[in-house]
Amino acid sequence: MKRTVSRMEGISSFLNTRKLAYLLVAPTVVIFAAITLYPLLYSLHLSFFSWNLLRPSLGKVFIGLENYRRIVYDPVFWYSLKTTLYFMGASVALQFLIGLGLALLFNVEFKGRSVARSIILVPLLITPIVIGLMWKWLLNPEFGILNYFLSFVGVSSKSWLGDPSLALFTVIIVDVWHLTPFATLVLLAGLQALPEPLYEAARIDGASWWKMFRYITLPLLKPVILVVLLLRTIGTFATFPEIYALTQGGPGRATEVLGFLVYRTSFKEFHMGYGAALSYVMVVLVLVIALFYIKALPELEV
Amino acid sequence: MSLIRKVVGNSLLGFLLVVTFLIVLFPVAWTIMSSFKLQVDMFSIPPVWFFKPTLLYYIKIFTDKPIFKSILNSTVIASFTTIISVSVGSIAAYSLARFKFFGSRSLPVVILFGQMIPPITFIIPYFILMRKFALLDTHMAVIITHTCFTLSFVVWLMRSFFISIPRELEEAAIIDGCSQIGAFLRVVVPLAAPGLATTSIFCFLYSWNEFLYALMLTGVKTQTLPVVAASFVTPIGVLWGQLFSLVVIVMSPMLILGILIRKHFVKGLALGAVKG
Repeated sequence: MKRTVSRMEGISSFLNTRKLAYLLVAPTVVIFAAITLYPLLYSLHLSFFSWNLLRPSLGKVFIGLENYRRIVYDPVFWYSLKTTLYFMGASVALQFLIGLGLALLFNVEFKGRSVARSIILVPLLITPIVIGLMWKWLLNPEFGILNYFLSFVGVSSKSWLGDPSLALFTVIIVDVWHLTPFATLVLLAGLQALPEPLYEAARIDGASWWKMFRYITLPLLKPVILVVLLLRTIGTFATFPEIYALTQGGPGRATEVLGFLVYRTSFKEFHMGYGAALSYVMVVLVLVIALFYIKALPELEV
Repeated sequence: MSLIRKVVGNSLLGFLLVVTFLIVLFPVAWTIMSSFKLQVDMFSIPPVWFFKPTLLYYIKIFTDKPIFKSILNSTVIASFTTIISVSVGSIAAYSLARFKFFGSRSLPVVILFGQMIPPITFIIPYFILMRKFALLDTHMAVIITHTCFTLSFVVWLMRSFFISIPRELEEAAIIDGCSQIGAFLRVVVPLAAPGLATTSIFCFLYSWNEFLYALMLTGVKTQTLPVVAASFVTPIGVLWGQLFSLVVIVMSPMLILGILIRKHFVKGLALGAVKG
């Protein structure tokens, strides 16, 4: 008896449920459209115009695809793209390799492991601009403590941020300090979800540590590894505060990644149209990488 | 033989751990230490390890700059961002976790794409639009831009928390006479409370730490703490003393909040909660 009643209710509530489902999503959809989609479309629109805020008399002039044509012939853009790819490649590779090493280290049972994991969290919690400013001081050629420490191992004093051939490397190292814990923690969670019986079986068969790592850990960890690599790759496009604090894109253009080029074009030279077009090049690059990430996400079961 | 191996292995492990912690913690610890030093000691090489702590620069930033106001600005912006995105986003997340409807699969993906787009792309239209609507130097402008990121993040993180709550519990409540909304409020919300807390802290953390939007959209009235920190880098030099004490003020609450949610931290990370 009770069952039939609940079934009847089930049918009538099915229609209501649908309404409810839409009702609950509606505010998010509206806000998303207003504060995410609308600005994005507006920015796309801007990218077809020539508009310099410093010269308001010239106004906003429609020039079609001219901004994009200019980008193709702009050596500054290509140099910045090269810097970005170099930064991205080196930074993501280092974060991943060190992160994996640390994850394996933290996966070993030892006393105080949970405290250790809290400690490794610290760089992720610090305000990025503060990280930049803090390292600017540690790296200072005159009174920075890094040069002092390095003098003990016979490395001569260096101008880490002032030397064009060193600056990009230095910014990468700071980024690695900041975000390696990200790779460590996500990979560690992945390692801990791996089935222990598999390793036991391998041990009984006499497999070496390397063999187990190569044929069990790595293949099973693949989805997690993919997520780490993709998220960090996308993340490097958002690197701004550290570069703002450390080098402002300099010396010269040595550390001017795409994000900073857009910032300079739009908010130092106030070429809003050209800046928007440049930023859309970034959007396309990010979306391509994001597609892979979204494909990998279901496997992760977060 | 195996004993020797064990001892060697353990000491190697210990050594690597110590080196890791030194690299992670030293820059932070050294900055905190230096915030209690006098200018002379701050810059001396070889460094001064033992000194009489002073609060000089802490007092100085509160007297020289309207720091109380900036703390208030940061708190107001981060709180509103959190409240808006968590309340709006989590009901959407619930719907997406429980019901199948047109768009229930594609909507999260579209939202996620929005989250991946670099902030520098958004700041150009935001800056122009906020100027047009006379919202520059208002809390609202920054809250809007921060919500742009946090909302999509809330939807994803809360959805994963809701999915982990068994549907049967709600159904049981409904059979016992609860309405759908009653079941949500009495059964789901209490079970999702840790998830809600974690998500809220992530939102707060993001908003508190965010720099680019705050830099471009705030002015004298609404400056947040990260913007003030950057303002100590002046054309004539860096006011290190003031900067260090501000750094400690900005950093400490976030360290505490972050340690509180360490259990769920990875879940947030995998969904992009921490931006480069």
